[in-house]
Amino acid sequence: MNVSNKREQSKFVCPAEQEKGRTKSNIIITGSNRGIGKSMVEAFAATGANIWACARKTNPDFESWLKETAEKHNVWIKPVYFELTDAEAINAGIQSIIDEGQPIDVLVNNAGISTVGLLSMSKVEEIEKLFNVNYFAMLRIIQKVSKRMSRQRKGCIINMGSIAGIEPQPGKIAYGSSKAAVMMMTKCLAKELGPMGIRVNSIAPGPIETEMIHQYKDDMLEKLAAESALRRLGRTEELAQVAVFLASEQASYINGEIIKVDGGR
Amino acid sequence: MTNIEKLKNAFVEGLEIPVEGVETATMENIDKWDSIGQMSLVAMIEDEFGIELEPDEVMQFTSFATGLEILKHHNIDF
Repeated sequence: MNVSNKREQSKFVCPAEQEKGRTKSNIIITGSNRGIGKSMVEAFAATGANIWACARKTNPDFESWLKETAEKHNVWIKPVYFELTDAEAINAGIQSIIDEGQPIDVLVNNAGISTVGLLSMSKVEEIEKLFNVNYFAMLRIIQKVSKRMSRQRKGCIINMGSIAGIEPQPGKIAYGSSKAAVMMMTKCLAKELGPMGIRVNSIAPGPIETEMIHQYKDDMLEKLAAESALRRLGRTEELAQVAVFLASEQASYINGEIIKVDGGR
Repeated sequence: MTNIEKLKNAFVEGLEIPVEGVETATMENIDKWDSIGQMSLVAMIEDEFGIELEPDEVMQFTSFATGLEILKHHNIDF
């Protein structure tokens, strides 16, 4: 197999769309300005997908990087800005995408925040805020986007869960339970939206080398790495490739799954 | 296309029913008007009229007649 064939194989254009002459998938990625989201933008663009790259606020460096990435892969990547704590802003941001009138093939709900703290040291208001971002904002986005996808009778939604939502740990009551909620939401929505050709899956990463994880001290990072059978933290690119697979036609019968990407625990 | 024609068309395409039965359509008498059909119908209507129905409006949208009334509340003239 030559290189060009390999490239062709990695693209994920659904056959129905190919028949209509559309050769590129359109993808929404939230939290796309750093860490896992940024790697996802890179990975999806490399497959030839167009992207709405959602982030919290305008950033010239981010926009330059999007432009470079788009040119490199001959796709369009449009920044869309909204705060996940602001319901109206979320609605307006997603509506601006819908109003473009283009098909939305894939939604990657990656944006989220993390906290660590024992319940006795946590303010419930802070936990509510975390749930608003990690769970309710995601739900709001899906509610709007799935309506568009239901018209298409096809779509793929990938929600970022976490191993913290599967394995109970002290100090993870807020983050862990918000991600557990996301993963159950994924399973319920897979049942609700499946009849309309919309697949909903979740990725549950273990500790990944991102800015977010550097809230931990070095000895804790070493401990986290040691918990993986591979004895290291995951890389953002490794997660992005799982998302690319889940969004592809190769995963067309995978629905309602939580894919753990944790190096083996 | 008039608004009533648009609405009928949404029913025909969203629920895959013939136009003749549209005006008397209810959730009870149309087999395909289940929760999936409802979602499809609502998406079709929202696109057709450029509106967004609230969840409680979607709940109340159980017949062609109630749908007509709901759309009137969105300042759509019939």
